[in-house]
Amino acid sequence: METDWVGVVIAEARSQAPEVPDISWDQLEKLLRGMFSDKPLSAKPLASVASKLLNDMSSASPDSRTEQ
Amino acid sequence: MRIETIKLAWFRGAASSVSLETKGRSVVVYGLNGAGKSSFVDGIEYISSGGKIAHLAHEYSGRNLINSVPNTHKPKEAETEVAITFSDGSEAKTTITPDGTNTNLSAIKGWEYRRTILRQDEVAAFIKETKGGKYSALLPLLGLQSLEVAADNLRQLTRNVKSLSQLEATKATLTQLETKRLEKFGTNNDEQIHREIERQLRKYCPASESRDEMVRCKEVLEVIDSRIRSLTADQKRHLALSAAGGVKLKAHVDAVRTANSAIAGMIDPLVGHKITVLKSTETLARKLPSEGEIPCPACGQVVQLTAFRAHINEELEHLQGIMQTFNTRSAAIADLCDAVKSLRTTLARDEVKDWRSSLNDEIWARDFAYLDKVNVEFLRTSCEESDLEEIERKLLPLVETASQASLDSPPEVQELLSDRGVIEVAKVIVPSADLVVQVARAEVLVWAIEHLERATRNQIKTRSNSVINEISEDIKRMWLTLHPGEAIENVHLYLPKDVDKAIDIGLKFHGKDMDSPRLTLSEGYRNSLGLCIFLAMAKHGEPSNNPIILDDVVVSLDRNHRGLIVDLLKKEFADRQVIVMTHDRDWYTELRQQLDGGTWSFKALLPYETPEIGIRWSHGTSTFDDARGQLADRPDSAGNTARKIMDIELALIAERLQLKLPYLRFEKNDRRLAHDFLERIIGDGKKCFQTGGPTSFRANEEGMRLLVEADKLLLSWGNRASHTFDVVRPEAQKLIDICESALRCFRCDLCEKNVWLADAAGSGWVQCQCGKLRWRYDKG
Repeated sequence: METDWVGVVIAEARSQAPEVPDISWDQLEKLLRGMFSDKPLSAKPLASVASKLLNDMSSASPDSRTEQ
Repeated sequence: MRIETIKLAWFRGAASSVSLETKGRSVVVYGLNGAGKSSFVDGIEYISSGGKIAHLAHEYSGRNLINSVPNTHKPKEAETEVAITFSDGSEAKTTITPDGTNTNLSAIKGWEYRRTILRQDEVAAFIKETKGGKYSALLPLLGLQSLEVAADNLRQLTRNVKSLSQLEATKATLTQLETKRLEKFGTNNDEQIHREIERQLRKYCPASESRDEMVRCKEVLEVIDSRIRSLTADQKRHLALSAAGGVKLKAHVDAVRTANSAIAGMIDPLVGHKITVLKSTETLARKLPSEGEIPCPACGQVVQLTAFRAHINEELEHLQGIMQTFNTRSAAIADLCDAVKSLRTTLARDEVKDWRSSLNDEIWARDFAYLDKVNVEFLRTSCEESDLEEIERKLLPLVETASQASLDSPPEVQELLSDRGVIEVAKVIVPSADLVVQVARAEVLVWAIEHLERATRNQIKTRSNSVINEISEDIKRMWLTLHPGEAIENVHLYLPKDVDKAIDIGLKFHGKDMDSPRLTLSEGYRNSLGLCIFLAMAKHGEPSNNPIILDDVVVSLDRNHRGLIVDLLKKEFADRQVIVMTHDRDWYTELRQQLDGGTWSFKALLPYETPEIGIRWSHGTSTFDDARGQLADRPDSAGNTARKIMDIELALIAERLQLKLPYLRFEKNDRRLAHDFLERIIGDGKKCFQTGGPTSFRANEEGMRLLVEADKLLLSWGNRASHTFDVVRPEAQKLIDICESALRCFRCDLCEKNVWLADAAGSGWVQCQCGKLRWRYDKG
């Protein structure tokens, strides 16, 4: 059975820092899943992910950004 | 999974069609250099790597390896093909089109190149690799490639977030604003600043009803500027001198000097150029395919893509600090230039004309001339220490004198100037609250992504350690098989501390721990080590049953260690298909004698003649076709080659038949010639070598006749071939034929096994499988 690397890494990250201000673990897990690919992501998709993350951060209200 | 057949057509050295038939067994293929052994290995790599052959990827290969994969003399109408059939009946096959693309090619799942094929040059190259290079080479075999890609993607994402949010630039702006705020407002908090704006608004615009802070600042500034415009000429002079005296020229010069010393010793254009090249190369690297090799854009050397990317990232990270120092220096120079420009503009105004005239000696004239003519735009691109010294020498006195002259300004001018300064700073501080939020958000995001990257890399490190420890156990065991009782031990892979993406090899050399084999091991030992690492890797991971192909990997090993490879293959890979290619005739002969004929087959290639004829198999398994290949042009060499083959073959046969040879002094024991062995074999053979079994035996007279004849010819023509070089073609031909026939007499014509196949325990003889042939010990 193939290892669920996303789950493993998220568990490791949570054990090191249980709470990340302003971002939920669901969001981080989704972000990390997008980083697993057969080959390194090229510049365009990475820039697009970065832009979306920054937009999400600025549009999120303080309440919805708390730890879930 | 085992390979049954590898079929090539107009591929590399192959002409119309040639097949390596293994029947699912392990196989040793012998051929002189250039005979075509590696064409079969290339065929496997081409199929398993999806149309790539790493060692052929260089600047002359052309797109899709079009200049190197098809046979150079392929007829136009012919097709280049590779087909591999497997023991489960499946087939991987491709046809290579004239433009080098391939059709119907699907890579063989899980056949990782480094777990399947090892070539001679790769063994040494691996040991010579840097820690990072070894890591890149082994990473795919550790099963952690997806984690590594994710970690690299996260790193790139961090850079993207920083770049899109202009994090560093915004932080620098905030730092500047903070400095200005401290100057004007000290430690006052936001509320106190708001109250100061309110106070100024009531003072200059008492009727204003504006609530917006920015609008309030704008209204106040408009009124102050309006009042300044209506000042008297004298008041304006004071105002200008105050402005000139307030220029922080000394602080700006010091800032540039500090930044200069931070990058002292660096050569600006070189570093700048390197950064530009690396940035472009990084963009190029991200567009490249995920694996394989490319020629380095700088030196042309072929490097692994993973190593190439790792190298670029390492360099970029290393340069990040330098880049920041460069940015700080550029910002400091920009501030200094702005200050000089502001001073020039202020001191060029009409209202300070009289003040300038009052400073009328030569030195002041020189300083004003410098101020008026200094090329600020040039200063921006090149600000040397000599420029800073000139600014200090010629402009600082002007600023100080202007500052002194402004001290007696009328109070209303000082008040206007002070209020204007406060509101100007307030105007830029108020909107900076948004920047602070923006920076905080970006920093949280960056921290979170970096946190994920750290967690990913921790996993890589933990898992790598675990896998590397497992593999190291195999390496130690294999090393011990190849080097029993030697003073080089505890050979293992390890992850160097405090370095990411690095693997190295440690060992104990005569009791001392060594961090690298390159410190102490000879080339032969290094190659032996590379072989152990590759074989340990081949044993590790999935699939665990794919074939292993060793292409001429024992070149630099001495005879003793080459011999021990047989033990290694028997011990570690008895259940695995191994395909060994070698040009070493002695080793091939040894392998033929020592490896089990039931699980191993032996094949010899004819010397290569022309691309049109292509790769050809010898009719037998012996190496006498090498000698036949020399008949036309060099019959003496052909005779000499036949004699050399007999020297080694008979030495091994004598060992298997446990012949007792008279002791010779010193090294002569190891340098016996074919005649020495034949003399004893013929002497003993009359009573020992029997045929007609398994029930009634008689002397093997035909075999003995052939051996006697071979001995005679070797003594006459063989020695002539070696020493006087006057053997003619028919003589050499006859010598080769009779030698080959003589050796064949040890092989049973019924079961096709050698006479030493089975040792009939306790019975005092060895025999072939069916028992027709036997050799009795101690009867000579």
